[in-house]
Amino acid sequence: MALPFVYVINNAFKPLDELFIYPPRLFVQNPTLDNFSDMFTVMSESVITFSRYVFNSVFVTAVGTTGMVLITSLAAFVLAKYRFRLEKVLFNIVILSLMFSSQVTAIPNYLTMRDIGWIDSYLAIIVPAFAMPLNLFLMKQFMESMIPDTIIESASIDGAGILDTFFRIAMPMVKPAWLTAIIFSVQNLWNSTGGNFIFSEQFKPLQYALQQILAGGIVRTGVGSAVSVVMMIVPITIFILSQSKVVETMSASGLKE
Amino acid sequence: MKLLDNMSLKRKKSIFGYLLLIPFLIGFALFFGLPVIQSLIFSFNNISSEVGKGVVYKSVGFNHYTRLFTSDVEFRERLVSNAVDLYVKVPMIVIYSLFIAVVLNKKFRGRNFAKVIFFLPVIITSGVMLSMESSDYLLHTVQNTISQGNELLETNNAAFIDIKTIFLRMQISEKILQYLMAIIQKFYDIVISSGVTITLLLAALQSISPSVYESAAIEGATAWETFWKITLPLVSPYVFMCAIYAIIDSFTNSSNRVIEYIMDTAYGSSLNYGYASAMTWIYFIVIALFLAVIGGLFARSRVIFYYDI
Repeated sequence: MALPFVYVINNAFKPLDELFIYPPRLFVQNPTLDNFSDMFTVMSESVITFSRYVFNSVFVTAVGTTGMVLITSLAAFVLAKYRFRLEKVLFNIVILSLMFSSQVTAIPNYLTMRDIGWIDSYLAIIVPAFAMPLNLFLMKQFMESMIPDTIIESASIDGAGILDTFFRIAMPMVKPAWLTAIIFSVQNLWNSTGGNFIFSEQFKPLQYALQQILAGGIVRTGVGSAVSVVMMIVPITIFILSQSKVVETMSASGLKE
Repeated sequence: MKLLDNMSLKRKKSIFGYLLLIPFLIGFALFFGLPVIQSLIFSFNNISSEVGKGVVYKSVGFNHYTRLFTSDVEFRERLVSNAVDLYVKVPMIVIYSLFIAVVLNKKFRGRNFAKVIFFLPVIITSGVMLSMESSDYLLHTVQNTISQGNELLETNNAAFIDIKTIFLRMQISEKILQYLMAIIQKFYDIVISSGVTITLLLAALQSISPSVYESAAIEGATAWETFWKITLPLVSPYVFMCAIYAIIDSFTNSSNRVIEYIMDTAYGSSLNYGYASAMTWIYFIVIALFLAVIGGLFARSRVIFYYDI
């Protein structure tokens, strides 16, 4: 499992003569940064600058994830902690949607996007990411069992509205849950190529640009590895950050019965 | 405002609740509900595109569905083999990820590094890494060797057969043995698909308050007892969630054999989008029933712990 990873990282630092040695070596002998600088050279000839691709990816990932955390967890909070009509039905529909294989909805999805006129804009990638059924499921499950009803009740006795309760009580209590949700969302958006919806070069994300580099074939092996390393760094960093941010949550001190 | 004043507090709250749900629901209906309904319509039609007319629908009624149940042998075969595969994989994924998550939740040096190692499969199986993996020479060789090794194990590896006979002599029933062998062969798959579940369970474990453990330790509970009587009951809702996730994931993964078949029908040489939609719908119903049964079993057995209920 870690082997391909180690191999790619090592490849990224290998000079040309070491890359094509046979039999291939796993570890690099004379590490060099050429592959990384080549990455920029390769891209510098394209019409769109490399930084634009980076910006696209970062923008889509950041906005999409922030919106997802807000919208999905609000919905999860209401579903988990308030009783109202259709509550069960709504939740079940969302769960059912997880089971529908997304491959087949590709064409209808495109038609919908065309009808709203979002083809070829950031919106086509960002907005659908807001409503992420997997994360709704995750957040709802956590809120249901981590937040005792009594604590919400006492908040409302103290005069807190739903939003207050949500931001000041519920979210701090389920911090591990939304940190995990962020990991999934970032992983998802960062890897999106814009595929079916984005055609203009200036809106294409980094992932797409990097695939173009890889498409250069065997000569680009070194640059390709450098690219993969760059692509992997972001999800891994997010993962490490969110894991180390998780400290003792409020439920430790929140309640005495 | 007058209208709001006349309402009871409870009613106001419920309206507000709907308001908070609306953003999610709109997004959901637009980008999910609509396409799904459209695919239902597709499944009763033959879809083709003609010059000058755009997309053309030709109604075929239930033809796609009857074909699916009567003449399409391949679909059924793939569906059944899928279900068998699941019965081996899902329990193992859940147990394995619970085990790893508990270990990773302990405080030891380099634990963040260890966490990353177990999260790697999630990153490796998506995006650039995937295309790297399929285009790289060395990785190809390694993978081929592994799969050849597995085939050897299955057919004529002496050691493998020996173990089997030894276990059989030990009066372990054939069925359990077959199950164990299947697990060993699928271990790579299991590890690869556990990345997400491990992360979910880690989050669950981290939200158990340390004071519970502290008081258990004061009462003199051993680590073994603490795991069975505190950790497991407290994370049981998440274990359930992971089971559901693992099932859905293995059903809808693009390497799944049914999905491969559906993709092939929709975008392959036959380009039969209508038929593929019909297949998706049947497949979807099968998964839903499957999950309903499992969910029902869990709910009835009352092994899941909730704070208030």
